[in-house]
Amino acid sequence: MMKLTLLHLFPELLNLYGDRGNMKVFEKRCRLRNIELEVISLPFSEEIDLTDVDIVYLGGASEKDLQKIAEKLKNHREELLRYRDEEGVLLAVATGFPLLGHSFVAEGAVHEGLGLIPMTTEAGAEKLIGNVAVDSPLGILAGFENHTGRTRLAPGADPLGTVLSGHGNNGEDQTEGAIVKSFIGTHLSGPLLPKNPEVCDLLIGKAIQKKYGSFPELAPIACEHEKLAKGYVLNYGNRTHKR
Amino acid sequence: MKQLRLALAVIVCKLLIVAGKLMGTKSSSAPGRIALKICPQALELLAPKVKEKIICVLGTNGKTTTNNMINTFVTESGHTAVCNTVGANMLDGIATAFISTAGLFGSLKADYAVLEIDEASAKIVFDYLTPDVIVITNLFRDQMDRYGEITETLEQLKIAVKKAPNATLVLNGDDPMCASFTKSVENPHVIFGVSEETNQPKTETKEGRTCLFCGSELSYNFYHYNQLGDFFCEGCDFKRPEPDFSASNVELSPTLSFLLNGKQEVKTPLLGFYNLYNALASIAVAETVNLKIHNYTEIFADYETQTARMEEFFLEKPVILNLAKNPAGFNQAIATLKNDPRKKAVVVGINDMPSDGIDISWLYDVDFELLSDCVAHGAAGKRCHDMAVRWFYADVEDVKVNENPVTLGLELLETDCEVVYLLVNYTLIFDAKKELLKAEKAFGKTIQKGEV
Repeated sequence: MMKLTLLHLFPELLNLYGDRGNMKVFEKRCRLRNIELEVISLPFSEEIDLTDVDIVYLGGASEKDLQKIAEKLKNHREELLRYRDEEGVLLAVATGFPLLGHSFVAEGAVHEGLGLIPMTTEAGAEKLIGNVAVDSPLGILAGFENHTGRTRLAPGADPLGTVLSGHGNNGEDQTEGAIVKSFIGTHLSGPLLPKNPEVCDLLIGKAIQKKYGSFPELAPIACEHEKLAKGYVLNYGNRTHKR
Repeated sequence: MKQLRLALAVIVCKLLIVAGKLMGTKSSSAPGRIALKICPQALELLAPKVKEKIICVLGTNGKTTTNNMINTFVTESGHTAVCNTVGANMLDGIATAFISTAGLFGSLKADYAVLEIDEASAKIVFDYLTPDVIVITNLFRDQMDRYGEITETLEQLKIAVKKAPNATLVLNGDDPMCASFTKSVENPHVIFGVSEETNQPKTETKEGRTCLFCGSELSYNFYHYNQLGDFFCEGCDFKRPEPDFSASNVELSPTLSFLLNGKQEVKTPLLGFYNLYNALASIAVAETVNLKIHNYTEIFADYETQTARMEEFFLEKPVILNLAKNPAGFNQAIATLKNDPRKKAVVVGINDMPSDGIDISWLYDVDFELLSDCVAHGAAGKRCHDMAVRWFYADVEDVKVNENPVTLGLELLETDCEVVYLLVNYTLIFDAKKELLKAEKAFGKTIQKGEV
């Protein structure tokens, strides 16, 4: 039986928008494929150790907690950089995503980020808020965004997809999210994976590829409602934005 | 001139309310909005005419229930009151409440005003009237697309409270968010809380796990649900304030009863642990403004629950409709369901209109897993498919889906359940109630004809 270890960083702080939904998806989709998944819920007070970790999850935190989370993660920058370059898998959503860039915004000020993804985030005038649909190589992804930061990708980072409706990284260049090696980050907040299980399966697949040598064939899982739920968001965008 | 405008505003507002009733619409905000256009000072002119006290109820959950309980205490003790009982809780709704109570020439016969006010609106409403008592029931995450993070809501409330520096605060001492007002503002305060450990299903969603004053993580001697409990900070002196009004010997079955301040037994017809806080809050207010009520049990016996708070309809099997708007509300509804030993079918209805909140991420902050042992499951509302996916990840795979929660509920009556619960959010509730009343009536007719 294959086994993966998922490090869920500081769930007591990074839980702003139903983030535990993503854990449920990882757990169920591994279980149904007979993959043993060990989830380490690491409290903020404990030390980070990436040895034997196959997937890292960074959720959304409130603005008041972001800086201290960034400070703590910066102490492990070298380790995280090595993890990234060795194709370690990481998913960052909502306010966890900009932390990975060179700069992020919290409580009205710009702070230095981790520099793990070549991108910068600066403060914008208005909140970018609402349903988002994104066209990605994995298919259409749908979710909800709620961020003041404007993220701009630099060379070396690919967008996760192109915005079909909603705002995306900055409301201007139609990009949303970022991919560098096996790191995926997105402004889509909270429970990204329930509606977008393709992302979950890609991350599971990449983690297995790294650990066991080849990308696995993952059995499809039937839940027809994901597509209909996604369709709702896509149509919602078409209704309200009329692009 | 001001008086003339006020009189005109009153007349127009009253006409609009009558017209609304004739057309069968529930007009609780529009009349006030138009009246304020005619006479912008209407509230400022009417509010000082309240003879005794203006009581305002704020907080995330339990506002309407607490407000209506206070109103019941006020009226049952022989007083008159202005009250927005229907839950229209922004400036327009408050104006409607005052003006519909006012006489045609702008007079007002009211001993008390009992008003629930939306968290984001309080700082606006308090520019028009000055409360004598402010109740803060609790602060939970709610519609983050509208209110922002919980700490923002807290700041909004602080701004509001600072506009009424002499008002007595009636605070939920078990909630660190509410209790923080004992340190952050100078107002006099009265505390209510639950003084013993209770065995509520534990939820993972806690607000303010860290101390608002020093940032250390809060510890608990015990807690009831969400962040409510006997908390203390290890980093500073912030801790649960000693309650002035406390409950012990809490019983939830068949209905809620408790011992007030260790001596007076209070029995209520209410279901659900959360109602304990609503009851305590309203008793704390009644005592604070000295309504001289000797027997709360007697008054509670006459208390009617408002629309769709565990409201029961009688069809071939009972159907229970409940409004829940956010994780704390849903988790408390789920706790109440778990107390019902019957075989249950459950429909969850989720809309995403602006007044519901367009972001539904919070579905994953609700412990729907606790309902996986129900005999049948439904997903309804505009976001029915999202809810079906939520059930899927709670390991419920056989889910019936329909936008209309009542259609679905009636369908699930055919399963081998003994009761159907419909848990729906705000914009679904009124139609659901209307349709259930219709179904109930139709069912009554079939019984009369002897068809059942």
